[in-house]
Formats: sequence, structure tokens, C-alpha cells
Amino acid sequence: MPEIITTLWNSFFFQPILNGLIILYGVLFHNLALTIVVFTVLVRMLILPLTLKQLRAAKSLATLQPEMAKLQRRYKDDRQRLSQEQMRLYKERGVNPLGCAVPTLIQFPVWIGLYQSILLTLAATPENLMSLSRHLYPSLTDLRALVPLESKFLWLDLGLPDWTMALPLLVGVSMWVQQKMMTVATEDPRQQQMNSTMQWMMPVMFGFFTTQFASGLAIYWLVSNLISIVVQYFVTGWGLLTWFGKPLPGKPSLIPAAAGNAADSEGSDDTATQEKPVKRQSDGKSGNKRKIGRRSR
Amino acid sequence: MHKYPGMTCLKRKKITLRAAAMLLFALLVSGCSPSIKGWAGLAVSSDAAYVISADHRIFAVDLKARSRGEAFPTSSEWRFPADSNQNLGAVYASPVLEGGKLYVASFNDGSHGRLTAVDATTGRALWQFPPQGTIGSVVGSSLVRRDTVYVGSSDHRVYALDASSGVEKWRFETKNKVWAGVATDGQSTLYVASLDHNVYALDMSGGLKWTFETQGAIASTPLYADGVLYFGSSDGTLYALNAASGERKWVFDADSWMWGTPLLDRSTLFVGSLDNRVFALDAASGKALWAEPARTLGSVSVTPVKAAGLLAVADQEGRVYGLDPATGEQRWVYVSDPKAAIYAQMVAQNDMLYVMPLNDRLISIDARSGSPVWVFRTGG
Repeated sequence: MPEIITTLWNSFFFQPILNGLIILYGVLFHNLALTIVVFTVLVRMLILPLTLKQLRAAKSLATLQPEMAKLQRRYKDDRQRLSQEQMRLYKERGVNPLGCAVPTLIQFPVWIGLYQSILLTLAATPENLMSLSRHLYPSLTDLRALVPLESKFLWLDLGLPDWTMALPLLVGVSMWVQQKMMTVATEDPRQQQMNSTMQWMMPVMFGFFTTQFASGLAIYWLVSNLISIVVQYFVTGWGLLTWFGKPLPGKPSLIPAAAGNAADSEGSDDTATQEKPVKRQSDGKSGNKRKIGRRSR
Repeated sequence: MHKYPGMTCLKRKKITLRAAAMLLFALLVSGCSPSIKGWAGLAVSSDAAYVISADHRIFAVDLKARSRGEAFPTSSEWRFPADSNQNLGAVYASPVLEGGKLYVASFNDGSHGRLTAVDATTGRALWQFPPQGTIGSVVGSSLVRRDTVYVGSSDHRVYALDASSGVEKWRFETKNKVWAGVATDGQSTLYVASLDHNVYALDMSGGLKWTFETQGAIASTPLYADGVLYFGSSDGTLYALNAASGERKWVFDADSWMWGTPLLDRSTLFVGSLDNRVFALDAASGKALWAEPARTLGSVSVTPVKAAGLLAVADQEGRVYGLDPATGEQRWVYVSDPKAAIYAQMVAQNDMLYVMPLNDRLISIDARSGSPVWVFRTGG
């Protein structure tokens, strides 16, 4: 890595996370697992506005689907015009189609910084411990007395993967729930295929990461997933998540479903009408309503 | 054509973006994941060197054969394990040669350490500790005194083993990893430094005599000399203790971690720090003797050695410096090629320095001039 990138990374991500983590550890009874949980909550609180924006963007995108389908039919032979009209629609409704990815992208450096910090502070290898001394803020001399941090928590060594596979399972399941809640229903087979792939790919991928990397990082992922589930619930309800086909108690799904239906006919109402701030639509289909009604019971 | 081309295009963009982000994350994370290589140094006898190769095997190297450039292995040279498909796992501890046996302790993957005794002449394994399973990873070199081997471990313990059989005699538990080697006064006391910030003095049966607490982790093997114990701590201080009582004699505040064991030459202590400095201190008072500490390009974590009247210092930028021990003035510098950090303890013998940078090479350097004499690549 070029030196300037290393310096920027160390100054703006890695060292603040590292030193912050050690300070928290000092405050939180020298319990690293608790430190990581609190750290995760703080990070998620920090990016909560972005997360809410992401969820609302996803909702808005879903509500546009009937209109998008209409445009697709109207301009099916003119892709350039179709693209222009789609962009116009996004602009009119104030939707940024790429806005959904920002909070996830923002968390990447945090994950990497946290992972590096965990390895260094736990003295996973001699190189880690040696490197740690170069990254502690010189003005905070008390931090030296706190390292290396205590790595044992319950059955876990937070610097090593969880050999019991409990954490990989929990991370995988929580990520699956989160994915299920945020997926927009569709009757387009290609879209269904993609949704299905994404729904399994993320949990399997992160479950696999958890088997390979420090369990301290897995605690971050697990807590982060749980926070996502809670936030998602309050913004969009349970989404497509059911209990063996039965609706879950509490808030019904607020994400409109089966946008693909909308394309089959024109002129009827659609689920977008239930959403704010998106305007009432006139070209959806009652099938959507029926589907949501079934889930909401 | 897709039924809903615009929608698919939008979703595809989203999915592509996520997939790219996940791939980036996977690459970054795998780049950050520790590839544990180890940095074991070497043991040198009058005619042979024992080195740990990059593929984590022991190489017995005939020094004369290497200087003649003969093909490896000659009749007196060997590898352990002989099978290239087997290895000891990552090794940080320099091998220890004592009584015709070579003791090699492994770090392995960070949680499964082991101590192996090998016949130094034949390269045949004599015993392993533990015989079944593993202990915590080992970083510090073993200490062999009389018929006992002492080794510290990442499982917070120090083990005392029978040197001929590897059978455990006793163990002593600290509150954190023991990465330093065990020191002794050669008579009745063992000194154990731990990352739990303490130095423990034990009798030869593992009974606690005294402890001394610092404000930081201690990773370096303490130096015992003339009734005084010297060691550096991550609190940026070098300590000198009365070895009998554990009382502090003096401290030297370097404001940087002195990872390596100090070198005592007559009445002067030489020690390097992780902030690229080398200090010369009066062993009796702890006062700095040079007008300014000598500067190096990289961190110094290796104990300096004396050779050909000069002080040799190695740094993590792959350089070896020949310094005037009286002033700290640089006389020569050797740069490893290809450039690689030096973490492993170097050895001085007959005006020669034997250095092992992290480039899979054993380098013999003329300590008078800093010129390389021969280079042996261990392979792996």
C-alpha cells in the first residue's frame, strides 16, 4: 500500500478505532466482549441516519416498481429513452438508487479497523503486539498499561475463531433474518433468483468469515445484525420474514410486494398508495394489495 | 429481452455493487488476516548453525561447507522433519543447543504450541512435549539448566521438563501470556517475565519468591548479571532490579518499548528500542553514556551483539549496523538483499555475524567491514 494511503488509513480509521477500543475497555471493567458490543452500538448509532436513509430508499425504490414496469412496456424498444425516463422518475421522486449501498460501504473500513485493532490489542502474534506500541496515542500514556487486553470471554478466545461454531451459526442466522426482512417481493423469476441468491450468499459468506477470523469481530457482526433487524423492523416491519409460513406478530410488512404483478395490467391501485412520502399511484395492481393483506393478517 | 429490463438493470446494479463491495471486503480482510511466519533465529556451535527455514523446518548447516559453497546437504547436514510435507508450524523462539540436543519450540497457529527435542548430530526427534496434544504457543526460547528445560507459553504458564525425556516436572501459572524466555542466576532462582506486566522470581521447584509489577507488558527475556536483573517493558522503561529481593535499583525512561534483551558488555548496557534508537547505559546507575542515542532506520527488537570490537545492531528495515561501542558512531551498515526485516536474534562468532532476515536466507557477515561473506537460502 502506498505510504500516503497507509498514513491516511492509520490516522483516520485504524488509530481512532484502536485507541477508542482500548479506552472503552478501560472503562468497561476490562471486558473486551462488552467493549465490542458497546463499540458496535456506538458505531451503529453514528451511522443511524444513513441506515434510515438506506431503508427509506429501499422502500421508495419498491414503491416505484409499478411505474417502472409501465415505463418498461412503453419504451421497450428504446432503451436509451427508457433509461432517461427512469432517471427522470427517480429525480422526481427524490430517490437515489445507489443510496442503499452507502451505509454498508461505510461500515467496511470500520470492520477492517476493528479487526486489525482486535488482533493488535489481544497480542495474537508478537508482530501484532510490537506494532501496537506504534499506534497508541503518545499523549494517552495510561493506554500502555491496559494492553494486551484480556482475550477470554466465556468459552471464546476473542482473538481466535470460535471452534464451537456457535458464533458462525448465530452470525449466519441473524444475517439471513436481516436479508429476509429487507428483500422486496417480486414475481419476476429472474429477480426472484437474484433475491434468493443474495439471501443465502450473505449469511453463508459471513458465516464462513466467522469461522476464519477472530471471534471478537464475529461479536461485532452479530450485534450489528441484531441492531439492523430492530431498525429494519421499526422502518419496514417484518418484510418477507414469516414463521414457517405464518405471519409474525407485531408490525406488518411496510415494503410493497410483488411489483412484477404491476406490469401485467394497468390502471389499478397498488401498494405504493400506502407509503409516505411517495405519492399515490394509479397504475399498480390489486394483486399487490391482496398479497400484502395476506401477510398482514 | 427481460420482461422488466429497467428493473432488472437497477437490481443488477445494486447486486453488482454489493458483490463488488463484498469482494473488496473479502480481499481486504484476507489481506489483514495474520499469515503467521515466525521469526526464529539460529543456534550456532563451533562448526554448525541450526536455522529454522521459511517452511518451518530445522536446517543443520555446516559452516565450512557453506563457506566453500558446497551443495546442500553435505554428509553432516540435515533437515528436520526430513519430509518436506511436514513441518513444525511457525516458530518464533530461536533454537537452543545444549548437550548435543536441539530444543525447538513452536508457535504454530497461535494456539497450539509444542517443544521438540532433536539430536543435533543426526536430526532425529528425541521427544516432544506434550507427547499428545499441544500447549499454548511458544515465543520465547527455552532455557536448559542441568537436567531441566524451562519454557514459557501463551497459555500463561511456564513448564519445567526433564531434559532427557520431556516429562513435565512442574508448571507455574501467570496471569497472561509468557512470551519471554526464562532467565536464571544459574544457582537457585528462575526469572519469568509475563505480558501480565509482572516479573516473577521462582525457586528451582517453581515456588514463588517475589514479584515485581511494571506498568506495561514484558515480552523480553530478562538479563541476569552480577546480582541485577535488567528488562524492558511496554511502559517505555528499562528496569534494573536487585535480583535477590526484587527491589528496584534504577529505571531508565526511554519513552519507547525496549523489546529486546539488553546486552551487558563490561559495565555498559546496550539496548535498542522500537522507536529506532539504540542506547548505551551505565549498568550501575542507568545513566546514558552516549551524547545521543544511535539512530537506526527501523525498529530495533533484537539484542545487540559485540563482534570484532564493534557493536552490531539489526533493525526491522533489514539493516545491520556496526557501531562504535564508545560513542555510538556508525562504522558500516549492511542492507539485506532482498530487503527484509530482521526480528530474529543474530549470533556473533569469530568476528563473523550470522543474521536471518525474513527473506529465507542465512547471511554470514564480516563484522569488521559489514561485507557479506556467504548467503545460504534455506528454501521453503
